[in-house]
Amino acid sequence: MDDRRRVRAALRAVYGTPPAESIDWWSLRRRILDAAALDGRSRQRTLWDRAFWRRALVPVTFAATILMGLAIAGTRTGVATGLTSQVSADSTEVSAWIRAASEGGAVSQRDLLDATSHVHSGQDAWLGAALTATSD
Amino acid sequence: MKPKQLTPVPSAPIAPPESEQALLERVRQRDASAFDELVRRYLRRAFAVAYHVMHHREDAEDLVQETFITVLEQIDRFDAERAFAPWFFRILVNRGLNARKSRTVRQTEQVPADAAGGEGPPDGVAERREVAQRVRAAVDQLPERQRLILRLSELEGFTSVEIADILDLSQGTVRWYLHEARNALRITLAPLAREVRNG
Repeated sequence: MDDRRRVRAALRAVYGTPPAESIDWWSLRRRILDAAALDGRSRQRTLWDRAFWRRALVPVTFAATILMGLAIAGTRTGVATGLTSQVSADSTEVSAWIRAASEGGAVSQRDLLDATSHVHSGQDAWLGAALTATSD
Repeated sequence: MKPKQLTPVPSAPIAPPESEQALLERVRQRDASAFDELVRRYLRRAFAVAYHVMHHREDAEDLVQETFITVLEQIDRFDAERAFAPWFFRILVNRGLNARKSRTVRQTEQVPADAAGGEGPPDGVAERREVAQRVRAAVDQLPERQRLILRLSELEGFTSVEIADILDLSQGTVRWYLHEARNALRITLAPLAREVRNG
């Protein structure tokens, strides 16, 4: 081995760079790219980016929608319950009245008038009117 | 048994690597993928040179990162008609030398004794360690600039023209430094060479 090669070998032995496989090239590259922050600058702004402070409204709107849904559902249940009880009460009275009428003569004119006054206007009014007429 | 004949598989056309000029133009336009490609192309060599300047792995990594960021910041000043590598390494070496001057850098990383293998050194960890110490002592006697030129030339394979460009010196000066450094080492290491030769 000539002197030049010997010097080179000695230098490599003492000052050679760390073995390539001992260096985490990916992390080093990533570090450089992150420091350059080019991704953030060059990337097209998405709708989400543009929303900016409005992004905070998303969870608020979501929560409000759920609360509103629950409130509507609660109201409907209440209304439905009320209607059902009223209808059932009306139905009981009307059916009692019809039953009495059909048994013949046990119901007075006054009873008929009272009973018809319990029948609600609208869809049931025709029934009351028809029955009142029949009682004559 | 008749050997199975391999049918040639048509190879997919490989796109030729993008020219450096085109790549740099895209970096100038702040194209993230172009910058990534530039980092990929120069990372390993940049680290090797940085390591020779800083003598420490973490310092070398910091220097490489700073250099790439500086390149990005100053890319508009780069003359596209000239070669990129010398400009890049000039930034790296200058920043490294300035960093070494201005702050206390971490102490030179000791290369493990068993890593000091290669051609020449005798077997045995203790002997290798001794050889490494003597070589280190000999190299440390050289002026810093000579040391760097020697390492860039002998270990990284830079030509004297490239070194001259990087260090902003004349080619004659670089060749002279190299000659001086090699001579000094040859003289200092002559006894060691004799010992190795005699076994």
